[in-house]
Amino acid sequence: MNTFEEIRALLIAEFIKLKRTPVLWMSLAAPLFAVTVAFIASLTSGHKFYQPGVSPWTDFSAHILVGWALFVFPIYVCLQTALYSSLEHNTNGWSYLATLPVGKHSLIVSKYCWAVLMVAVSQVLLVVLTWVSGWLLAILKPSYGFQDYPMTMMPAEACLWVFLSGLTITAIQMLLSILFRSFVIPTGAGLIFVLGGVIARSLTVSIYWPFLWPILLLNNTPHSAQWRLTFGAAGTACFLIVSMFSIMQFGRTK
Amino acid sequence: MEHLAIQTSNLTFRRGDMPIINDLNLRVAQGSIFGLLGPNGSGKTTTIRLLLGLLRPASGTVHMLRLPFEANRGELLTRIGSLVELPTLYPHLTGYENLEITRLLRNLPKTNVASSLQAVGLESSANRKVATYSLGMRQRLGIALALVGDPELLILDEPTNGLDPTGILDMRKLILELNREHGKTILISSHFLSEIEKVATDVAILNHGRILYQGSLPELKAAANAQASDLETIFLTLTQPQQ
Repeated sequence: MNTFEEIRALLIAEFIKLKRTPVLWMSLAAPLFAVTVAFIASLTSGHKFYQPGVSPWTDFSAHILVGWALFVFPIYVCLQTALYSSLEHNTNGWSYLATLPVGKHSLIVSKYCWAVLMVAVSQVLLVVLTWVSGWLLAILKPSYGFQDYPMTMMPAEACLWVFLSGLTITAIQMLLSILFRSFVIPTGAGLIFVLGGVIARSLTVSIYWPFLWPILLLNNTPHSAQWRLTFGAAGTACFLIVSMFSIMQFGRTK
Repeated sequence: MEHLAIQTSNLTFRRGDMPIINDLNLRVAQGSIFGLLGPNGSGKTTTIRLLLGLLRPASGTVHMLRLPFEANRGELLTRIGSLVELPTLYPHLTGYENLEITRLLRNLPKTNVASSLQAVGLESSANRKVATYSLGMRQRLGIALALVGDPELLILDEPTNGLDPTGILDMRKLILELNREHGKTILISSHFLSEIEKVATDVAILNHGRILYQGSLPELKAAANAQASDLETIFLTLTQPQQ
């Protein structure tokens, strides 16, 4: 097999491994959680958030995106990557895979591809669920006026940028979860990184903390013109660096 | 000159300063069933991990199927099947799915999955989740994973671990059949001497990372004390003075 065929075979094999695991379901559970919290808050206290004459879609989407970018998304990535790698750690799979005629570099590339794909799926689902819950609010609470305004595309645009800015988190957490056999270490470290970032958010140096990049990108505003897209570029660039490092590092270890 | 399926030259492995394997010169003839014997901690599993490239030796070389392993890893791993310690099985998947993963990564036709399931007698349980398998069934599935690529050389580390007497008997039949009818070279590590005695054509006795004896079983018996007719007595005679 050439490298392309190897990666293709590995991607299919990884999908088989992921079937019937909570790893895949987390891509649905995380956005569902973020949207459900915002939906319940809107359902019960929406009259405080939405003003007459202003599109409720923007405020509702912004409400979801802040919770997602600051907490739910980074924590979800920590848990998902740790669970994903534990599929191999728990079965001594790394050693077995090393006895198969596939390159170690290809193996790590396929793992990273799946990690990124699952995170991408969660972002798409967040957008879909945001729109669906907005329509539900239009039915359940017509007084909010969701039905009077066009559905905003802002969540889709925001999720694309949050995805790009959060890629570094995915790469770091994948690296930790492959490196450490214990599920607790990468998850615990990830939670400390997320919470540490939240506490230190007001510091000037916080702009260098990758776990804050998704929320820093949104710049506390639903208006895309004011988003700080540099964090999207930084997230993608650092992802490439950390991923390359992981692929080189794990590709040569025995 | 006999063809060697496995040949190591002065293979040495250390953990820190502690030598685990010392100048190992293993010679496994093609077509043989080779028993790698030794007490717990003698270095059997470490030797197998070195053979498969899972550990990096401090010095020495490994040749498999007459090719240097390091330079031909990819090609050799398509021709070798292995089971190291406990089989690597994903319990949330079915037996079939576990084999399918290996089939994909070895780039083999789908028929190989069915034939390896048949070889270990697991066809009827193929669609059950591995989590519901008994220890013996898991061990047999581990053997099926090693067989799925129809390898020329099989390396099995303690393959009868966890098997009941019927399972051990079945495993013995399978090993003999694979060797006699399919011409496969098989290296088995075990501390069940009676089991090895029943299947092996050649043995190496390993203790403290060194080979104490290597050769055919009849030669070993002839070289040992005339009164020691069984492998167990010979093994104890060879290993006890050093312990």
